[in-house]
Amino acid sequence: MRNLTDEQIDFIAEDIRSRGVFTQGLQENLLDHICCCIEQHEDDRPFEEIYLQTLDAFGRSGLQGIQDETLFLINQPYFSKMKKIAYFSGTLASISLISGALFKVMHWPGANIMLIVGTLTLTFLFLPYFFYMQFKEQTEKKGKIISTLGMITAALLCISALFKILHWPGAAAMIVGFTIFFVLFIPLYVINGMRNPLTKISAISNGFLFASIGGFVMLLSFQNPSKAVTDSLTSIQQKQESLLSSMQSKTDNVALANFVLACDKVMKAAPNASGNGTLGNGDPLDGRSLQTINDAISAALIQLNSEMSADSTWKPLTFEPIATTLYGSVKFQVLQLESMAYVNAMDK
Amino acid sequence: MYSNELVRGTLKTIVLKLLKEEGKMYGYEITQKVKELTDGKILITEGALYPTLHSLEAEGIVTIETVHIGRRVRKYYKLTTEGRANAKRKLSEMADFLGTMRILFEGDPGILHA
Repeated sequence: MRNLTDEQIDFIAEDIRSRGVFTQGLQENLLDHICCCIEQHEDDRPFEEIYLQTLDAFGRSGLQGIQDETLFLINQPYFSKMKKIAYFSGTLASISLISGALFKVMHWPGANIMLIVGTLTLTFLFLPYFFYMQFKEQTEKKGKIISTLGMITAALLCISALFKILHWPGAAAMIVGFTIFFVLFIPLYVINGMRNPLTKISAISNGFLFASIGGFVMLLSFQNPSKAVTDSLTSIQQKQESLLSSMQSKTDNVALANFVLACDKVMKAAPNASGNGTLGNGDPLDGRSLQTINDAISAALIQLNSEMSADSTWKPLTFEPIATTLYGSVKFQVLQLESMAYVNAMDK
Repeated sequence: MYSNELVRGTLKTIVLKLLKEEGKMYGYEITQKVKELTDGKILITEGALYPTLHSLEAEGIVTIETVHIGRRVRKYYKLTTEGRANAKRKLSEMADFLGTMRILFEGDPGILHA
């Protein structure tokens, strides 16, 4: 029976750590076990030789293999429960996201709710479980950090997409946040994966895949209306203004003045570039207030046509082309469909 | 020494039986005890023992008692109250299993002599 010195014990403890065993309970167990094994040797061989021989007895996967097995056994019950939750939430998220996208494209009701449910399930149930399982498989600290970074990046992507699609405030800031995490995550992920020959190829190709997806996302999210669109909007607006002012100057006819006033109200209520417009009195411009304005325009139009009927040069005006011209620019993004619906309802 | 396959499935039961009889034991002691009791026919490897001990601890079947020996810590494992009930169940299951195996293999002399 030989005795180990404190330095030798410290050396073994440090070596166990450097061989990748980070679980404290296991470190202590292995240290005591290895010390016991070495103390059994009666011969005079040097400490190092006996130590290496003892380690050999731990088999091919060595100390880290014991740790992997330990972590696997401890986490097994959680894994199966988590897997169920992950499958369920993944299914729910995919179904609601895909049908939400379809409903959104087709302008069917309920699209937004589906998108919200889908994104929330994806972000707060599926992603955490997915990354937790990845996280548990990582035995190195670096791997854990990268998993966490990937989780935050993916969550930011989902949430900022939701905010962007639903025109909620703060989407731009979230996309910037996503970009920062994304730029950090990709190189770390690829470099870490490349160090292991087994994951080298998949790490590089995944890195390219992630990078191109991220590139598309950024391209789409920082997009503004193209120059052609803004130019045509400006020219339509200018045409309307000159038309209205020429009408205004031409006549002191009360009916025409009423009509011009009603049209003017729509133009003034035009949504600015950043959001919805408001009526002159501060009421928001929405479908209901538009209907009121539409009523005013139609009434003014009927009155105008009847008063001008005496003039043989007067060609009666109809509502539809006026509404189309007005709303074509004013209601460019958000309210276009709504106003069309009201215009259609008016026709019936 | 028996094949790994045979030992692996019974390791948990062996550990529970030893802890039930000895009260408290530490890892190395368990490997030595099994070696001694079985004349070296069953050798429990560290690679199988410690994962089992840690998972028993996580399940609440065993609890640890730490003793400082110089610069290192020795962890004694012992059964909890829940663990004792569990051990009892496992041991009677094993006894039943052994009986069944005997019926299965002794009933057919061909296998015994093969």
